[in-house]
Amino acid sequence: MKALQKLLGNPRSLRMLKRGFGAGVVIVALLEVLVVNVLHLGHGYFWFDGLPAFGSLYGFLSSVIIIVVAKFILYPLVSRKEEHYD
Amino acid sequence: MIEWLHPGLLLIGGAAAVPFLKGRALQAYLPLLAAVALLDCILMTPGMFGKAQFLGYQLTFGRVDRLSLVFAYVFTLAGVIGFIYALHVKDRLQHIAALIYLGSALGVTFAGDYVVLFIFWELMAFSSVFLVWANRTPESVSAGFRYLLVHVFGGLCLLGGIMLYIGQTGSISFDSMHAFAGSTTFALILIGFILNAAVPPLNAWLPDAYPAATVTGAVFMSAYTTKSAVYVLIRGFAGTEALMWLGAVMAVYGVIYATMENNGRRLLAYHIVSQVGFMVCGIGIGTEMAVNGATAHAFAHIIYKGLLFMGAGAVLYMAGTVKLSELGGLYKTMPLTMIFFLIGGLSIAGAPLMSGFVSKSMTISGAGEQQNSFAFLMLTLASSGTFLSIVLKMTYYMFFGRDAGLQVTEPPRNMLAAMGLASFICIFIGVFPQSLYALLPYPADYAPYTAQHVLDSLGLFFFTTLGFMLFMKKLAPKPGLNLDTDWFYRRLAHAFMGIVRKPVANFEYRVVGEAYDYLIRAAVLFVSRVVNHFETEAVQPAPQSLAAGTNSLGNVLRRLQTGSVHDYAFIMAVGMAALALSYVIWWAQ
Repeated sequence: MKALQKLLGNPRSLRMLKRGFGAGVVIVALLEVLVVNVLHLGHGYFWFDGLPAFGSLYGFLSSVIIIVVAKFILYPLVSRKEEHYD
Repeated sequence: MIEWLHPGLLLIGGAAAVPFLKGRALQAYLPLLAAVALLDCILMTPGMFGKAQFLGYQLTFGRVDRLSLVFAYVFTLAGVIGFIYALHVKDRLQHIAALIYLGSALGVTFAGDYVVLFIFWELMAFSSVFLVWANRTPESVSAGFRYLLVHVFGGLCLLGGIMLYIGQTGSISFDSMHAFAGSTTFALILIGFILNAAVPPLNAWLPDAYPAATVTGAVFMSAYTTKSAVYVLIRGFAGTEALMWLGAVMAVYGVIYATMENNGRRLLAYHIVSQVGFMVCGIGIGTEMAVNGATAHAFAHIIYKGLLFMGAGAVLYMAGTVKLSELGGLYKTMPLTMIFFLIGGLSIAGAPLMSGFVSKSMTISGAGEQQNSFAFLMLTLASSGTFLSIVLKMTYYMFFGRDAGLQVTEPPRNMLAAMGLASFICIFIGVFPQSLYALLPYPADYAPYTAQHVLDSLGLFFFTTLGFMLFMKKLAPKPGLNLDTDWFYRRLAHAFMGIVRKPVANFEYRVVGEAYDYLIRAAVLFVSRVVNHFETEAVQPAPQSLAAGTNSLGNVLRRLQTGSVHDYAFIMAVGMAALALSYVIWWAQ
């Protein structure tokens, strides 16, 4: 536990974590292309899930869709004060 | 030797002992009783048990087959974990309510007909509401009443459907409702079921009531109501296309609301809606693989959702709040809770080596095999949203982010032990998926760990994180409340009360009260005057004149019996004269 707290409390290791994440994003997307489109190891169900790096692209698209719909469109419409029903 | 012991009735009956136990004995009793129920389920063999005659119908309390067993296993297992988590709770009301609630969920699972099903169905709603009320705050009392009213409405729809069903078939057996598709019977029973599954627009009771429940009560509630609904939907409505559409929409609906939410336990409640959407969608697709996926997902979901509610409950218990805007930096003081919560989060998101991965991908592949691109894309989108709002948003703002400076420690050891046990199960299922697949209703020949699957998931998570980092500022939680479909009945009730308070009360006082004065009271007075007159003139004199008659007769008799010889001699003389006279009259004739 101590080691974990030290790791997360240290700005230097946090910077490392960010860099590691950046590398992970690139590596995963490339691996996806490699496995599905170069080595043809997977089998898709539709025309679209065999596109290069489908999981990665759709994941990014999904998060953007959800954030835009939830926070930019719906939130202004349905958000009220906590005491709304009192 | 008893042929078959109903685990639900064992727990409901076992609740009777709770008031007489205290201290260590009670602490040992609760998880042990749930463990005995689990053992009871494990030792069961398939068949039909617990038959009874009632009003000419045959009731079946124990339909034991692969489908009911897998749900019974996970219900009782979650009960063991839940009671370990609740060991420190002194409030016996909560323990009794939880035992009856778990027992009635098992009752629904093993019910072979609609009558038994309905009884346990209602018992489930009426016992679980006490887990909300046990919080004993004004908010929880009113949330509990709303919860109960919504479930009474659903129960009435179900009852109406059952009545029509009995009228049409003359039978009470509960099996596939396919033959009734499109009829009112079908619709009413389906509405009763999907209300408990929290399918929008009948979903708002769930995020309304669960965050109002006690810390330990919410852990139980997260497991049983929605998943027993999933069970009956599999039983009765597998392959109903409408469920596929509703489930796919529901999975995204829950995620969107969760993304806006500030209250941690309400956020998790919206994720129940979303996750049950996966199951409902799988049921709607209806193939063996999709139904297997829905069942596996229900199993995995009960454990990891319980784990998440335990983690959020531990934060609420220690810090006094679970509003994300008031939390932060808890990794320093609650690292174990954070690790367990993160395991729950990775499981629900479906990360490789976690339970959600092996169950969720089965449902999504079920959609893929049916060439159903809508369900496939919606469920994948919901997976991304789950990762976004639980693993990223909730973990970040609870345990990291701005340090809220809360002076807390780890929760009691029993809470940590329960979370540890649930975490172990999540990882065990993720690493050994065949252990779960072996329990599913249909033979499962499915390999979740293909290179493409794993990489697709990793890609999904990494790039969702990228999206999160881009919109981090916008995602910061803010205090507030988001309107859901409960707005309709809460506003309706408000308007109704307004009408009652102002116009109806006035009308009652001014018009009905006055009219009462003139019409009713005047008439009553008139009738009472008539009755009074009759009483004084006719009824009261009657005994008087009767008494007067008796009195004068008595006087006559009294005079006759004077005791004086002269009088008697006179009477005898009169008698003799009368006899002589009558003889003369007779002789003359």
